Amino acid sequence: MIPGLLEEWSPSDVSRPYWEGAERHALSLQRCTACRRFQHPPRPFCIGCGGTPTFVTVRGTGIVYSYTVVQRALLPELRPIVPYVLALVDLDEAVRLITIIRGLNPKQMAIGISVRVDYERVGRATLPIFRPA
Amino acid sequence: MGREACIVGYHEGPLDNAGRSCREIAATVVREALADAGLSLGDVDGLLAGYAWEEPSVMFASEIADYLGTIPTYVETACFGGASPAMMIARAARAIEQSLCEVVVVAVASNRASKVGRAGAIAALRDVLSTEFEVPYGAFIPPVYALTATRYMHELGVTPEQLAAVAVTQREHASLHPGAARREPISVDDVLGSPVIASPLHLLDCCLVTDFGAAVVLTSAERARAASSPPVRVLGTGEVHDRLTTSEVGDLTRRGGMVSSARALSEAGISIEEVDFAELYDSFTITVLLTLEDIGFCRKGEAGRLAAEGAFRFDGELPLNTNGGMLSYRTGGLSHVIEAVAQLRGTPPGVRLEAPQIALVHGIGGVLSAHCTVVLGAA
Repeated sequence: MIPGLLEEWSPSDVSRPYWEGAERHALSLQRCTACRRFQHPPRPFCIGCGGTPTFVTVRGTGIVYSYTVVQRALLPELRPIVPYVLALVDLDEAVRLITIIRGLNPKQMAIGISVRVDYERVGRATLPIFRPA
Repeated sequence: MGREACIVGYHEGPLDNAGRSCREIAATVVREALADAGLSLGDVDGLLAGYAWEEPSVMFASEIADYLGTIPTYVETACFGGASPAMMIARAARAIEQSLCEVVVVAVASNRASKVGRAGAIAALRDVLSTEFEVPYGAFIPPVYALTATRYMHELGVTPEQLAAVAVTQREHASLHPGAARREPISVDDVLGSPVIASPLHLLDCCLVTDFGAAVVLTSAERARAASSPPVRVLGTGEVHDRLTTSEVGDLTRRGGMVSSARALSEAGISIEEVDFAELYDSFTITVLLTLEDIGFCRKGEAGRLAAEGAFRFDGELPLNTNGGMLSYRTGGLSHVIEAVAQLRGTPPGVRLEAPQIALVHGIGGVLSAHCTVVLGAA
């Protein structure tokens, strides 16, 4: 993606382990130490049971729940990157991420295809993205 | 229940607000709406305004009240995105029912097309998304709605042609309305042939970005008897604030409209079969199909087929968005309310339904997250 989209991007103390994980090419997600559920985005506490979450590294594999091929750059900063595939990916750990999918012709995109995490350096950030598994 | 609230006046300003500030637009429509009700500024003791992000503002409704020289006992600024207009009607009705005030004005004002421009408006609306976890991936509106559309079509077997039928029907309604922004008829092929914005949504699956300015006046049923036009009764309202973060929604094909409509119909003591027509928030064609089903007008997955069969045309089983809605008439959800009131009064400028008695209005804000349903009845 492009640095323009990261102008307002600002990790907090709570979310920083997610982004530091991405820097190391690890997908690091919050899991509640009490009820064992995953949650994303990160919060100061588990919104399911109020317990204390801790970051754990997950496999980074899952399937596409939904997607869209963004064709038109309705915002000037998107001009260099259209078309791109914005997607929702259901990870094996029962948590869903919004992400982009690289490495597939948009015509090959489909709900249910298996994908695996990869990483993309964009300006100040490393973003977890996904590719066909 | 004690006091009942009625809508006794409304006014919709011009489509083009170039050269005018939001407070100027709001002030003008408020005065005209009061005139429609046979009231004046001196009668106003409640004011709600909102859905305003075009100009810097800390307390928008208070600023409008001040600009008008009023000192109301009830004021609220509504920040529920596209659901703001319906939410304001619901809150205004509640304020009257609870005797917090006697005459309430609800106002929206926008120069988003003439001053902010389409790209500026799309950039501003993106602020509803997470700048940390969504925007960096190129998420904005419309693509986040497209994620819902793809999943909905996949699960329920709905086709692009069926989505397009919503836009075609509403354009037909707009073509009969003298004030609509887009009046030239379109076909399913026109929708499918328009540029893909974010698959499966084409340009003509997306609502317009226009200026708007409108106001609605409410008062108690008792006081409404003296109004200069037939009052329209607020029979019931319901709201819910469903999840905004798309990745955490769970089932994207079932959203908050189920909850808000059930609450509104229950409060009104009205069954869904008794509703004569509907004015539903229509940011995109997918929004309309999903919401029709969530409200219970048909079973999940049926709305697309019904749209293609013409069930939502003005002469169909459930006339829908009879002024053309945001897809063809103009942006700004008070238009949904005002069209419903005009139909119930028997004085609509465009499509005219045969003596309808019950209308259902539904507003949506955020990403299919903030929902408000309002059930209105003829006097």
